[in-house]
Amino acid sequence: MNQRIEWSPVKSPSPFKQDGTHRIPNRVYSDVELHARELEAFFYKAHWCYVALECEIPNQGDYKATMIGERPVIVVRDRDGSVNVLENRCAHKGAKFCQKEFGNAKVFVCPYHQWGYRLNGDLAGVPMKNGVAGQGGMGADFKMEDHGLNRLKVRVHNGIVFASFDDDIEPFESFVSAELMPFFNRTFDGRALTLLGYNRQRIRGNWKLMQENIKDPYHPGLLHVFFVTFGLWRADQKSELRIDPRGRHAQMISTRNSGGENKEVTAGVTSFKESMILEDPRLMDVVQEPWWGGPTAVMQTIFPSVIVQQQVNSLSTRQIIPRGPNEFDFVWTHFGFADDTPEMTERRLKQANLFGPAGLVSLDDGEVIEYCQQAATAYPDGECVVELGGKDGGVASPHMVTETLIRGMYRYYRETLGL
Amino acid sequence: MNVLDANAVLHINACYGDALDRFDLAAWQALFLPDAVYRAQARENFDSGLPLAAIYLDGHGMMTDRITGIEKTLVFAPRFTRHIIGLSKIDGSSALTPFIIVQTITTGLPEILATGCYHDTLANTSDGVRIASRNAVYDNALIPNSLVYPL
Ligand SMILES: [Fe+2]
Repeated sequence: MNQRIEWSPVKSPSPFKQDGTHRIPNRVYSDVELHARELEAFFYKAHWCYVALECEIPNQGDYKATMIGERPVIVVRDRDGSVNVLENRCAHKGAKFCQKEFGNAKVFVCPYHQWGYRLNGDLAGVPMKNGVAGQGGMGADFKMEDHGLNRLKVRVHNGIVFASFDDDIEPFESFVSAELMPFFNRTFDGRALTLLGYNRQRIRGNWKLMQENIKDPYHPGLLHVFFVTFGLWRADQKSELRIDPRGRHAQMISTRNSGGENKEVTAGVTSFKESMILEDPRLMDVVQEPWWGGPTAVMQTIFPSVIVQQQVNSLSTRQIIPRGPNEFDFVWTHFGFADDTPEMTERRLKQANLFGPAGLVSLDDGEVIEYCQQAATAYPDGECVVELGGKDGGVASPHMVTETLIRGMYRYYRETLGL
Repeated sequence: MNVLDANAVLHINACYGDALDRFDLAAWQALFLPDAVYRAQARENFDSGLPLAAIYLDGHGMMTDRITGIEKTLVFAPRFTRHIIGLSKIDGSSALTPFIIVQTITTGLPEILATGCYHDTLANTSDGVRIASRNAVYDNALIPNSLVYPL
């Protein structure tokens, strides 16, 4: 491992004006210093961050370049079939040596001075190391083994790959928590995955707003008119919210067509339009899959880096890549299972119309996140009110009429950052 | 015999950009055959043979549903788009046509929403050239937030 120099910022006072997390100060969305602390505490320490699905790099030497927080990394399959995650930063001058997003390599060579690295990050070659015609070269104390690429801790869990810069990170299962592992493993149970493709969007909002969005069961029935109108979501459908004990990760678990005809759900909701019927039902041709075991949608937030989506037959990971406090990239990787029939693959691809930058129930999320960011930036001393369902600090819930999961995330946020 | 007339191809692409930039989505839809397939697909998927598309509409029915979605259900900041559609390279009933689409959120500055190439199969009909399939393959995998209207 390379040595890393820890950055220790001067800490400004907490932006939270009272105890609890039912009020969120706008500064957490726009403050540059807080953002640097978040990167350090959440993305670079103590957290397993999502980097890939194994099916993206099936063969020896296959690699994928991605990000953890704001640092570039490479996920590569080594000769023995194992997966390595290396910092995409030459040990010499720090150049981001790999510029291709996907490829196959026997070695990585930095183009600047052609330092070469094995797929495990070991330094294999340094041009002119021993000088030229007896002149120059590295000193006698230059040791190749001291100058490898920074190699991260890696956990491959049933086809999904997480990594951490932190050598002392807790085991993956305890990170996700006993409460959440069952539904995490429901999707990733060891079956081979197939890659369907990517969608990418750049959203001009703070990265935490996307975590909040998928911890917020209040909005789908209100913002996503498409959802409600075509019966994919009702606030009174059978549902459950799970949260890990520390409040950072969560799952929204629900079963469609299980709701009553509770008029409170639609009464007074201006966005409700009763009469819409799909012209082509193949857009939402839902077929129950045996592994669901009941719930038709499970939306998981694994803090800080990823959302795991199962919305009926559409499956994706959604990676969050912050770019300063005011912007993040959102990368959707859609997948299926190796034993899917061609009809099931086609169904997953058609249902993908609902998701991504053009998604009929997700495009609106990116839009409203930008609306929130605009106000957060304009009113740094303002606060958001997060009191639906009470003022608790994040608890499991048998219903969706609550913002408890968001309060849980900020409980963890305050504790971890000492705010 | 399906020999495409270059002027007719120019004309349908002019109508295509015009319809979208006026938000006349019914006129956009009418340029497709009833069973036509429309995709807007990131080039990284297209080049790697990955099937996922950001928008995938199989026939007029799904186009109608997308139009209803845009006009009646989606929440998005008001915007203009401007399609700049280039010259087609025609080969039999296929055509490759480059495009740039500039988007202006009404309170902001113009930005490029997408640049890419239409991969088309076109057909002569008694009403003129119609689109049998169009894949709007966009070079910029990264979309500036949202892709509201078809490319
Ligand atoms: Fe949403």
